[in-house]
Amino acid sequence: MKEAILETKNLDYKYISGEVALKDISLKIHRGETVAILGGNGAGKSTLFQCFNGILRPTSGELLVASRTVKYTASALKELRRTVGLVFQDSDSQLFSASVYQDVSFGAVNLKLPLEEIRLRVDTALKRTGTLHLKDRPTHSLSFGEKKRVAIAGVLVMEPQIIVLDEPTAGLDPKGVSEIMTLLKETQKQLGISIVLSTHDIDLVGLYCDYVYVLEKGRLILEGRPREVFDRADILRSAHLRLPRIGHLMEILKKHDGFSFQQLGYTIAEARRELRNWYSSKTKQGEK
Amino acid sequence: MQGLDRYAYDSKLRNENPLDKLLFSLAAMLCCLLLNSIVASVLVLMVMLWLTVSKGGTPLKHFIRLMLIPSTFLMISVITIALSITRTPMVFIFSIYIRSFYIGVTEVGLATALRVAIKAWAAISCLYFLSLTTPMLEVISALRRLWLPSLFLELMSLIYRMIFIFMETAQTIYLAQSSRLGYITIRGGIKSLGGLVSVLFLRSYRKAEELYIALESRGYENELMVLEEPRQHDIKWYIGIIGLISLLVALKLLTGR
Repeated sequence: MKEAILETKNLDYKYISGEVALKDISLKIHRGETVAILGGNGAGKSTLFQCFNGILRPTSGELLVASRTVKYTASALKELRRTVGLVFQDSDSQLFSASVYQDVSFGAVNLKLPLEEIRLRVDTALKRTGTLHLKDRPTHSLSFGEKKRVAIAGVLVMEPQIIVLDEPTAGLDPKGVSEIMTLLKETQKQLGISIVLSTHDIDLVGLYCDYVYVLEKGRLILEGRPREVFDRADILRSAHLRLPRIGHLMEILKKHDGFSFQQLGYTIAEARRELRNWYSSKTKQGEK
Repeated sequence: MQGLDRYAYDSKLRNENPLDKLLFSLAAMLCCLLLNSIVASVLVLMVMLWLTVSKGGTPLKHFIRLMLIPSTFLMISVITIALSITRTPMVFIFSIYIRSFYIGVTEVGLATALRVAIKAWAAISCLYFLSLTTPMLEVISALRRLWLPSLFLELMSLIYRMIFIFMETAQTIYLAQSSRLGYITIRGGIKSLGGLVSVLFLRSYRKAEELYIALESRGYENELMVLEEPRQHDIKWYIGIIGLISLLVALKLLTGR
């Protein structure tokens, strides 16, 4: 088992009003893993993400980075924010500068790195996210997808070990979604970082994620590998979520149309395999 | 992209060092204002026109149109300078007599008015040269190198960025309202506008909060520090500054106007 880079133990968070936002959250993010946090609107995903980064301080419970409990001192917070990079859902509230280059450099400058190192990191981050050609463009002239990638570059310059993305694919066109996901997975492969993302796009989960946590009303109600989570369709649905479309089709075929699958497929590749198996067993039966 | 900045991004002089351009336009502007000479002002106006249009590639039409915007205000003030009101008759070019007052234009008054008008135009042309060849961001970065207080510069750059978000938000709200017939009557329109302004205020407030959280998560420590790409100074602008100043001073001394 790989080492856990980020961990929460019985983490609670209450708003000042006393309303409970997160209750008893214990989870582990391992090095190099991609983890999806699923949950309906208002389930507490964004609040949890802000706890990961130290923006919000848990009311009780612990946050551990590389097995060490985070103390909320100024220097510990700095270290935490350097380790855990947060990409916000609305890029416009993250991009503060009208210059792409300046905005991307911000995090690296704050780390007080030598000038040459900062330049190198900014260039690398721009290249990685495919935004090098945008560096002289003003921020407000970028498209939605371009802003998203610049926002990711702005976090990558800090060279975090975990990158946390709040709905990274929301509002993107299908090509934009696959570009963002490919760029994230590519970066993960090269740097060995962990990725945590929240999404409503269930179809992504089976394709890109290694592990899934399901939140409902601030509590963790389900966790496991994507397949394990999808096998509990009843719980997912009670949390305002659903199966991947293809999984739903497989479920209906099995339940109502007498298809005898060994297991359901939740991605196109899995479903294809199951259907081929079913087809070949059918034709064999026919030959007999 | 909107406004003046669009021309600045298209300008062929965009990649020149912004500080060089800033100093050049400031020097020219100061000369105009201090020398107070018609010849100098005309020359500065020509130089700025030449640089912006011929060298920068800004269409002449745009330059003239932009020059006309402040001209309205200029005309009003120039007319008041040109007119003299006295009780005793003077050497008027033409005048009217109302009750015990003479209102008219004297040669001196006309000359002063003309001098002020041309001086103002020349100074404005210096400003337009800078804003039509240099995007706002680069102006800010040039000011930073002049050691202006960072609070001032941070505010400038944040405001500049937020203007666009603000306009976009306002436009979206306006569209949403007018698509539900919010502006079909004057009464309704006023009400809708009130709603727009209050929603805009609330959204801006929330946006500011979000921005602060986002900055904090990237290690913000009470100063917006960013890296700027290094810029080489170009000697030709400084030769230009010295050349222009000496030419203007010489002209002033020779012609005495």
